[in-house]
Amino acid sequence: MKHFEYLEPGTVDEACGLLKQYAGNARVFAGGSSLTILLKQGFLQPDALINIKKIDELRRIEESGEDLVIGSLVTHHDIEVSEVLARRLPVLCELEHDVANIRVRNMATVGGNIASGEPLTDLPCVFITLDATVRIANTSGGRTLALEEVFVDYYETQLQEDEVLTHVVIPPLPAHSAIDYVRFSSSSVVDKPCIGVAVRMTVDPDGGACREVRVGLGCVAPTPMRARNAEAALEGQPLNDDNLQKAARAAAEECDPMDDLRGSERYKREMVAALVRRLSSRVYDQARGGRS
Amino acid sequence: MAISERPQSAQDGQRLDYQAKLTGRAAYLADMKMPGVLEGVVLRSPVAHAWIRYVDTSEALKVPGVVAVYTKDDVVQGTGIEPYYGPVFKDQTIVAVDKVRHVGDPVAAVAAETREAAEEAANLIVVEYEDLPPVMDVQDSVKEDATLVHETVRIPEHGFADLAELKPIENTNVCTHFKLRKGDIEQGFAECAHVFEDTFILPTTQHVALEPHGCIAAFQPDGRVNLWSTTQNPFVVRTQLANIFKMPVSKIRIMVPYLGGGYGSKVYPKIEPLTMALAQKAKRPVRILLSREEVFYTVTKHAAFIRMKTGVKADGTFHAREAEVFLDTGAFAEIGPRVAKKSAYTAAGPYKFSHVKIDAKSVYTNKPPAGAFRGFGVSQSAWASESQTDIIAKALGRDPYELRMQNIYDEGDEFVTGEKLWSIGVKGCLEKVAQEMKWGEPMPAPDDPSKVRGRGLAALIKATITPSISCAAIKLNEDGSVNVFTSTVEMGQGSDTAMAAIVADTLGISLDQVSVLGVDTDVVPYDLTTSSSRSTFHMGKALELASLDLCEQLRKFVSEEHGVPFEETRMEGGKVLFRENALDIREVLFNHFGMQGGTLVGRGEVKTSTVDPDTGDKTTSSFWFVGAGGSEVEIDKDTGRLRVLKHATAVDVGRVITPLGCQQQLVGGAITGMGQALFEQMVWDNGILVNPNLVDYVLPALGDMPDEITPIAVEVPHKNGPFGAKGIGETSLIPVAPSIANAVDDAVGVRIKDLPVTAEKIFLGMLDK
Ligand SMILES: Cc1cc2nc3c(=O)[nH]c(=O)nc-3n(C[C@H](O)[C@H](O)[C@H](O)COP(=O)(O)OP(=O)(O)OC[C@H]3O[C@@H](n4cnc5c(N)ncnc54)[C@H](O)[C@@H]3O)c2cc1C
Repeated sequence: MKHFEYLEPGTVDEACGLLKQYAGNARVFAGGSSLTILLKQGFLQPDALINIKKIDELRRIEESGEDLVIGSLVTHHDIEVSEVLARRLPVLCELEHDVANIRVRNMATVGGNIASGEPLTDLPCVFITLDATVRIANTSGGRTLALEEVFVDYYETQLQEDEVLTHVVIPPLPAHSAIDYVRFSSSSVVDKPCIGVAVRMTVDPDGGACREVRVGLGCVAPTPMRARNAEAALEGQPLNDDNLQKAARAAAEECDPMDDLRGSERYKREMVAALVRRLSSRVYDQARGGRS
Repeated sequence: MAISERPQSAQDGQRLDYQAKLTGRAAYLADMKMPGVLEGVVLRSPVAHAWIRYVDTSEALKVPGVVAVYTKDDVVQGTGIEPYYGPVFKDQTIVAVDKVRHVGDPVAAVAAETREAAEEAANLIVVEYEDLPPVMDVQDSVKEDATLVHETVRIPEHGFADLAELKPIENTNVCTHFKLRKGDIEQGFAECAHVFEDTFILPTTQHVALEPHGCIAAFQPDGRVNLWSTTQNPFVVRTQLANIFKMPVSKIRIMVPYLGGGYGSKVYPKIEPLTMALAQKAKRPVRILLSREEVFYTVTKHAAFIRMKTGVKADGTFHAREAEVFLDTGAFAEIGPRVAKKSAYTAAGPYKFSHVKIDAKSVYTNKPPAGAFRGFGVSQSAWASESQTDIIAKALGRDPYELRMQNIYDEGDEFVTGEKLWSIGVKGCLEKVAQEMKWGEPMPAPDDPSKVRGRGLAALIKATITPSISCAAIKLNEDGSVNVFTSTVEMGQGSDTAMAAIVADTLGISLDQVSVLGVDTDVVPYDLTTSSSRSTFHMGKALELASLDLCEQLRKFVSEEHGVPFEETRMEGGKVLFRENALDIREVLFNHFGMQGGTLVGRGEVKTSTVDPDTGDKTTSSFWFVGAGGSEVEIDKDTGRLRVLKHATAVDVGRVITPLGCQQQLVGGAITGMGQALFEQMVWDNGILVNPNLVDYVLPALGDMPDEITPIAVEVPHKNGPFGAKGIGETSLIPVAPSIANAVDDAVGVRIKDLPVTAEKIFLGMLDK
């Protein structure tokens, strides 16, 4: 591992200032679970690590008006045991039981999970189906982006060299809605996910038509993605075998999986179809049953 | 000799090392502190196969803190060493000399004051390679136009007796070819109503012992050298080092702290020759601790490609078995030739065949060297044999349990080598497993309609290394307590406790009076190896004999002192008895030495041979270990995902010595087997290992385990084992994979012939049916 400066800014502004100063040769260091591996393998050789863990304001999970705001330093384990989330979005707490292992969950953060641009993750897929946005701080005032737009390619995001991701903002779920997520591992239960599928929808109390359908797919494209053709296949109609099948096939076609250790392209497409089918009907039932 | 009663002292289940290990105070090699030690870092080949044109160390030597850099020049010109070594063939060198033969092959090493300096220097070494086409699997490697991994292979003068007939086949990549023949195979097939032919595949895997390999070497002012090493067979390593460095073994002292797991990955020289060479050149103590990634480049389990052809009579009698077993031994022979040989012996499984033709080839490729792995070639051949047994049962409409029972070995049956099998409780193991799995009863339907269940069985037979030697000594102290001197390496298997229990029970003293020293080749007597599930049987017996030797000495003192005939004395409960008298050990010693003091030494040795000393019969193995396993699985039809719901494993242990230790070995082996069955494989892309880390090389986790893994100890005592005990370390691993594949076929009718059994293979198998 190459020698590097280790800096601990106390505020977000300070962190952005330092990043600017190093002009691309510094890295934000949050939980370090991803970064440390890359440093050790020599894939990254920054001149400085900017450890942001002293910035307490980034550690909170808060309700702000109707919105939920999750600070970028919130860890996987914080989410797993959060009372606010257990009440508002239990799907997040539940999925975290299966993320990595307790050692990684204790260290790794939401910000790192997103900013690393890692392809095999869970939270971003769910956040996308929740229409989440992220707040980004920089040396020129900051900006807000739809989470979906943050991701560019494998390990590549929109974040610029002086930017710190500070919060994920999740708008409230409409009434008569439900959301659920399946984390599908093709081998050991602790392996990174092979596929993640999240489905959210609102169901008309009368008539039972699906509205605001979101189908999020993780691990089957360079970035987490929405399966918009699948969403369209369900939108505006009550769920039935026919449109369920259409949605499943559409999702399988519009994703872009790679052959890798966790499965072939063919298998992954088949799994996307199977899981979209299974999950959509489960979420539909939940939304109709009034559970949100 | 009559078989003694079951040992009593370890019945409560406590391990001697549990407190030290639970509290983290047990010291492993990496915990050791040594004044003045330099850190050694290895530069490894980034390419799978290439000529080395030159190695330039000038920049590396300029890094502050660097003391020595070791390269091929030191191997060939330097210090009067023998450049070539290896347990079977001399095809290894301390660092690569002419060629690199796999990614991760050591090319140079740096010793420096700090690890950082050593790493920096290693990165500054310039090596120019001239690429050669790599051969990455056995099928390519045996083709006529394949690039040779070794242009020539040197054969040592004094090799292992059991491998003497095996030689590399010149101008090919075939390292060895072992042939096993019985009867007339063509006639055999001609006599059969049904003939089955299948091909089975296993990938390369790694042991992933918790503790990576490490070594510390420190030369003494008088020219002797002390090494601390993570080795399962210090005496074999000592011999190899003595040959390389041209020193008498008396000047090489190897000490082995607690080992953090071995599973075969720590037999034969690994990092020891390089550590010692670096220490010699640096004239300072050096330690090398491998990273997890380096472990993947150091030793693996043989990948295999197996063609199996089986002829069966109309009534289901197994009659003819032909098998061609290709084992991928990687870049160096290591112990691969013996792995292939052992694989051949059991390619007919635990079944009676009249005609057998087995060809087992150990084949060089440009992968890291494959060596011993818990199961030693048998998990490969059993994968093929036990899978095919179920293929046959299904085709004939027979129950797989019944078909096995019809053909399985029994006491006194003739093995494929022609010798008779004794102490062979495989039938009992299969029976017990079937009972435990509720074989024949309907399975409860899963709650979830997308899930289906199935059950599968598998059985096995395996040999232990023969001939071999175990010597042991026990020191009886003036207070009646004893120190045990054994070279059996405590690597988590619980051997210290088992050995102490055998001593305590034979002497009739309590377990807390017994201390096991730990391994130091300058002190403990010779033992061949802690592997091959041999320690309890061989070393345990040597210690029983050493204890009996002490008993005899004590009785002799009493007989002389009290004028009683020796035959009228006996030892029981830690006392020497004669007439109405009972003298405890301490009194006997006091009387003998005339004061509180003195030492008695008891000696024991076990040497096995390929001829049974009692009967004169051929014995390929000093004992056979046999067992059976059963799995019940549940499969999600929509995804192919499999869960093992239950696994039962029965092992003929001969006699239980330590009940808890025995259960842990059986369950532990089964868990390792689940990893091999379901997840583990090293994957290459263009000669590069894709997953030399524990994120992408997937190990089984607790959450993957069935709710129940039931260990069953079947006891068919062996006449030569201590208290009748046999080895148990490897047995339970072997049936896991085939029993799971058989259960998958039972559940969804998909036959998986290549490991691991993944969700994808099951799913696509269902889809493509
Ligand atoms: C063994 C293992 C198993 C895993 N399994 C899973 C899994 O099942 N599911 C899953 O989703 N993930 C999994 N991961 C990935 C892990 O969750 C992510 O790596 C983690 O969330 C990253 O968080 P971190 O705080 O450790 O990031 P770090 O390693 O500190 O940083 C990662 C990257 O993000 C940048 N960064 C971090 N925070 C910010 C910020 N606030 N603003 C700007 N840039 C930032 C860093 O500069 C760096 O480039 C696993 C990781 C490991 C090691």
